[in-house]
Amino acid sequence: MERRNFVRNTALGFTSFLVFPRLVASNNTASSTYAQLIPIHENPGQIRHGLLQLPQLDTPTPVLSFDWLKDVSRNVFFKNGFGASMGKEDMEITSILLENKDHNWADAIQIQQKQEATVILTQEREWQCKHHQNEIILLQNNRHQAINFSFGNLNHSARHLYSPSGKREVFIYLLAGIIKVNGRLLEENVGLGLQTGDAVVFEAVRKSQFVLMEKPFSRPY
Amino acid sequence: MTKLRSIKQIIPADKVNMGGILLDQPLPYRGIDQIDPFLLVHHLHKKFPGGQQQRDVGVPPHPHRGFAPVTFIFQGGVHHRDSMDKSSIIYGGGTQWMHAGKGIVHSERPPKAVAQEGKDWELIQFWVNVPAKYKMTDPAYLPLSYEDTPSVNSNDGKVEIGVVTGNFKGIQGKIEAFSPILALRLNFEKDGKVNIPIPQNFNAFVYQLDGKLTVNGAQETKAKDLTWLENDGDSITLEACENTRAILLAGEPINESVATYGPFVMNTQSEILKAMQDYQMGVMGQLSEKFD
Repeated sequence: MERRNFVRNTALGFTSFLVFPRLVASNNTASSTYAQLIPIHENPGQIRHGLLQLPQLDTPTPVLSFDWLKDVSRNVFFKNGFGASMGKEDMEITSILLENKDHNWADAIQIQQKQEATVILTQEREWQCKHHQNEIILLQNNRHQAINFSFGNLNHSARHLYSPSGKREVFIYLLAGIIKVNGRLLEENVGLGLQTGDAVVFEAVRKSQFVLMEKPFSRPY
Repeated sequence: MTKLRSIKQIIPADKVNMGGILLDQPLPYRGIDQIDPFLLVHHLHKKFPGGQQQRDVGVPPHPHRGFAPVTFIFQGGVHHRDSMDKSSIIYGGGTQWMHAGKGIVHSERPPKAVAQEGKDWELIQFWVNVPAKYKMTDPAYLPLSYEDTPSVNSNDGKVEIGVVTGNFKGIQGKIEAFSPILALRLNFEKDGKVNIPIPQNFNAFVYQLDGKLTVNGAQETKAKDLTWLENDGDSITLEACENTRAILLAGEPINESVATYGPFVMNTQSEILKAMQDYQMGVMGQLSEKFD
């Protein structure tokens, strides 16, 4: 994974939109300070055997947006192990390794994209997130570990306002589709790291699924 | 009165590229996902050029869960290291039978001398599925050298049969599998002939590394062929037209759903996700290889 330089993002729009009740807008007007785009490369299609390209918790990993975001890896496992894709019978898995050393906590979240749903596995449980919903759903509110985890499914042209309480470090990873985040275009398999206390505007250019992880602001990056 | 099994299909191995390692793969094959309980057969034969370090060759650390990867070594050797702190080299004629169980991380490399001196490296690895109730048991590594492998010669003295697991005419293999398996290593001199009893309910096949065989006096098979047998009899006769090496694998089918993706073999895709998570969290252990 390549590391891009942080880009100062000062141009924040605040547009009228539909507010979904699950994440309510606040009046925090602190400006967003940093944003970083992270292209997430897909590992070569995995035929059956070994050579799994996936870091473990103790594996040193390149620095991503935040020190609690250890790694994002994408793997495609061919169903027949034959070296050729079997389409929907293959398993496409995005693995996100999170660690919060302050709370002695870690998780290796596994995300499998299927036709009609996205399966998300955390240490606590497995979710089947259907793609007919048009919202961002908070899946896990880790009060003690302080990293919250949400899944978003937005239909074409849908807009959603995400309003953090206080300044937060936010990582958004687009699984499928095309969205704009605060006007910045994100295409598939790209991550975006934001430090912000302002609302984040999501706009689906196409029907899109994404995950959103966020934690209280800890330090400037 | 024995009845010879007929041939269901002869499968010529396909060449596959496993991350830069070219090998022959007769199973899985074009719509044939498994021959229950066998999920995969890989035949690797290469010659190292010499002057290489062991750390730079072979297959680096990777995990497995839920089945038994088994390696028959034919030339060179395989240096196995794993997250249970096992480090062992088995040379030609020997076997490494690993039960991955709930998870293990291991590496498989040629011995240092093979990499440095430039020697032939030939092995077959096959994957044996295990019943669901044993998939999450403790892992185990079972090395078996050539010298420790029970063997017997055919009546004509021209076929050496190594019994790795299961029973061949009273000779019991030393490896205990989690379901009934017969695994034999066969070395034929030209014109050598052997009849091999196989329980009728076992799925069975023969894979040839080289040479020419005649199956049941009728069908010729060649190098890199996998001869899949019907379950319509209880034995097979093999005769060599030239010096030939082959393996025979037979096993009682497990008849459970199989989710085999990457290095994991479980029953559902959810369990595959769990295996990925457990691997990343270090539940399967870690392997730091130590090289001389």
